[in-house]
Amino acid sequence: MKDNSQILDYFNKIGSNKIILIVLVIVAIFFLTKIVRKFLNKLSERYIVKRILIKNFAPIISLTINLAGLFFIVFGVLKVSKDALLTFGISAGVAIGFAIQNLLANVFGGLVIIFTRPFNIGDKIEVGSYYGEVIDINLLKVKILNSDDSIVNIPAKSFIESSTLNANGGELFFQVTTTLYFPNNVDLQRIKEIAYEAVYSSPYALLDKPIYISFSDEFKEFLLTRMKIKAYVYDHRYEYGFSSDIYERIKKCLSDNNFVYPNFYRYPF
Amino acid sequence: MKIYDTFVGTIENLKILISDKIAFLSDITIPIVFIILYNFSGFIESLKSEIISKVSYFITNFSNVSISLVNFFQTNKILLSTAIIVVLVSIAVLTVISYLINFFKHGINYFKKIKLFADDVKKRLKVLIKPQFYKELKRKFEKKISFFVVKFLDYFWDHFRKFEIIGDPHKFNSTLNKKIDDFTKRFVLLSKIRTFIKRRFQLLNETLLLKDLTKKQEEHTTERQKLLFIESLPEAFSVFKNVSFTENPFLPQPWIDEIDKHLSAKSKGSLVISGHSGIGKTSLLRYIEKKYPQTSYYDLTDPLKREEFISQIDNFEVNVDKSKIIALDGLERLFKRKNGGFDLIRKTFSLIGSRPDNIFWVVSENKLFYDFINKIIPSEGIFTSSFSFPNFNSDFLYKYFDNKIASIGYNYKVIPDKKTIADVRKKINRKIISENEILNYLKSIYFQKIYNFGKENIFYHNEIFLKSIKRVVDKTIFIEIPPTSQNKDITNIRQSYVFILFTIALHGALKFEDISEILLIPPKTAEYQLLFLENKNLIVKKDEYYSLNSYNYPGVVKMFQDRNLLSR
Repeated sequence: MKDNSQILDYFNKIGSNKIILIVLVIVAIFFLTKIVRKFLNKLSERYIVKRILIKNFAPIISLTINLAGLFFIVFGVLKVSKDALLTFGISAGVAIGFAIQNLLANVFGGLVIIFTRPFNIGDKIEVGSYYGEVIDINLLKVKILNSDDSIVNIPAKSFIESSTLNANGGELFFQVTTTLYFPNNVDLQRIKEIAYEAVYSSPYALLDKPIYISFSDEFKEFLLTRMKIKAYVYDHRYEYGFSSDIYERIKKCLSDNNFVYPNFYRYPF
Repeated sequence: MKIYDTFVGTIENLKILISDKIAFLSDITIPIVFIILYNFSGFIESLKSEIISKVSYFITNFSNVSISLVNFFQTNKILLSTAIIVVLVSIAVLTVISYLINFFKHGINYFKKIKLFADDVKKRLKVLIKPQFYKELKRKFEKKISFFVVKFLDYFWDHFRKFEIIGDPHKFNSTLNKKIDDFTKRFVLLSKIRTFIKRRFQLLNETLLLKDLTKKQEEHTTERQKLLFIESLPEAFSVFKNVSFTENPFLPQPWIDEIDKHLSAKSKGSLVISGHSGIGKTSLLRYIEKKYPQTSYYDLTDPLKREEFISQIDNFEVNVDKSKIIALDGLERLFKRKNGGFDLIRKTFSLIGSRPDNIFWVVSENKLFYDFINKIIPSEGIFTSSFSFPNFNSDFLYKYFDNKIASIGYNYKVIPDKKTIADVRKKINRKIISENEILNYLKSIYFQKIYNFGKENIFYHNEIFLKSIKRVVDKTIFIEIPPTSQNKDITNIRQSYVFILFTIALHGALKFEDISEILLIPPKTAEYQLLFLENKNLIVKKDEYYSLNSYNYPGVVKMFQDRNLLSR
């Protein structure tokens, strides 16, 4: 019981000045991290080639700021002695540990992500059913911007439990697959030519990298030829724009040349 | 108790409200607000005992657990510590192993890096040994201190001049020198500063020179006034409008000889010339046309000539006599970056690649187009030799204009802007420099700036030179340093606009319909997008053709590189 009364005594001693100071420190940390993140964001959008490299610093910097703030509060403002910390840590730590088990799991997940770096801010990743660009990594969660321009918050612990797919691995360029269907008796040589030209003329294309075109049969109501075009886009942000652009170009060329295109409309008979 | 419950309830509600953004903070706020209430408020006082009992109950419950935990730790001290040590050591070993694997994977790179680093360290250490380094350090320190003093004096100096207290500077100079000497003799520390104070007055002439140069005159503010002014210049200035091939500084003489050798051998073959627009490709082709009368020259930038070439491309060999040189200027004009737009280029390339007897092809291409088409159809397979215009620096430009201006019997002076005045003053503070040196320094700054404007494009440089002429007085041309080309709008421009700029740069010049067709933009959208770019001075319209504005050309190219569209 002696320990308990000590702790209560300690709480009694905490004056209003200290509490105000703590609140101020927390507010300052909050805004400081925000400002740093904003600055890094602006810098990275200015120098797009170095985008992923610059954005890497954000989580580590904000983590150090937060930790420094916490240390300042505990040792600088509250002036917690080592013994008090130990006794409080053991008694309350167990209780809090049970209460915020999930939170702690997330914190450790976040730490693992920040230090082992399976992916960086700016990469395109797939976790579970979610796919998109990583826009933020912090201790609790990873924010992903998906193709619908909506933000998905994924708890950090789920990255330890499940497997993740990193689509570009720290590079800006990115392979995009575009799929098109044709009637089974189509002239493959001609179609291939059109596809190559469509990729060459797309403004999104990175032509330093090779272009792959493959054909295969597929049955959908009737027999079709499936064409897969694999080409590189120079910035993975334009993944959908690139594949749509290729699709549009091929279709336009086909309609200009009166090419037959499969019609999936079902005739009522 | 009720109050406490409602309090927690409201906090929970608030927590849900702001859960996403500051969930972590709100977790902390509950105890903090709790403590605040516990400390100050009077009416909570009655609840205090209740809360204390609650807390103590909570702690006693868990203290049992904690005591048993502590006991466990104490009894199994060795076991636990060994376990912790084993875990830590294994983590350390694993990390070391992973690093080692990495190291062996990229071993060569590591060694290279280490070697470079070691060399760097060696260099730095070597410098430290030399006594010169310490002397330099001392000198720098002294300079810095005296610089501040001089700056302080400068401030007052400007004020004196403003109210014209000083009068004739030369008289003032001699009288003041004595006074300064008398004063500073007494102080050892001030001896260093004394020289600087003296220097201030010695340099009066130079600072007056700066003031002379920046004297305000009538200004041509609008674009129209400027154009009218350029037109009103004497006829000698027309050399800046039409750059002749003989004075092209970018083509070294050996290259012309080599081209001559190629051509005079009358062998079959082909040569591709690449460079940014305006660097002198056309002039080179014109030179070839003049020198070898059997040349047939096709200016593909001219729509009529282009049509003529396209009409006879299918049966070219029939129309061409034997032993001929065929010069194609601006091959990028035969191409449109869309489906079916590559056909003409392919036909031309196969024509060149088939090497008809006794025909020598000379083809010029835009640099961007050359890099682009090389990725699709490598030029090495088609052309027997290639020549790309070499890089040059601002000194080269300085010499070029110096000679050119001297040749028309004029001399020139550069009007400094605010920033360069500060630069010159800094330079003066460090060292006494003569009037001529200042003028030359200003010139070098000017050429550095205009070099950054239109990199490797002599035509643009001439245009910029003409535009930066402020006034002409008695055979001296006063030119002003143009504002920096880095347009802030370029860096934050939208991606769709970037594509338009890139396609225009790639094709040299494009019509409105072509732009909307190549980029698949609806015509109405293309219309306002082009208008936007025109208003931002990034493109110019000339006879229905849009092309990049010369003033912003390097900025635009840099933006392409920043956005990963072009490799550096």
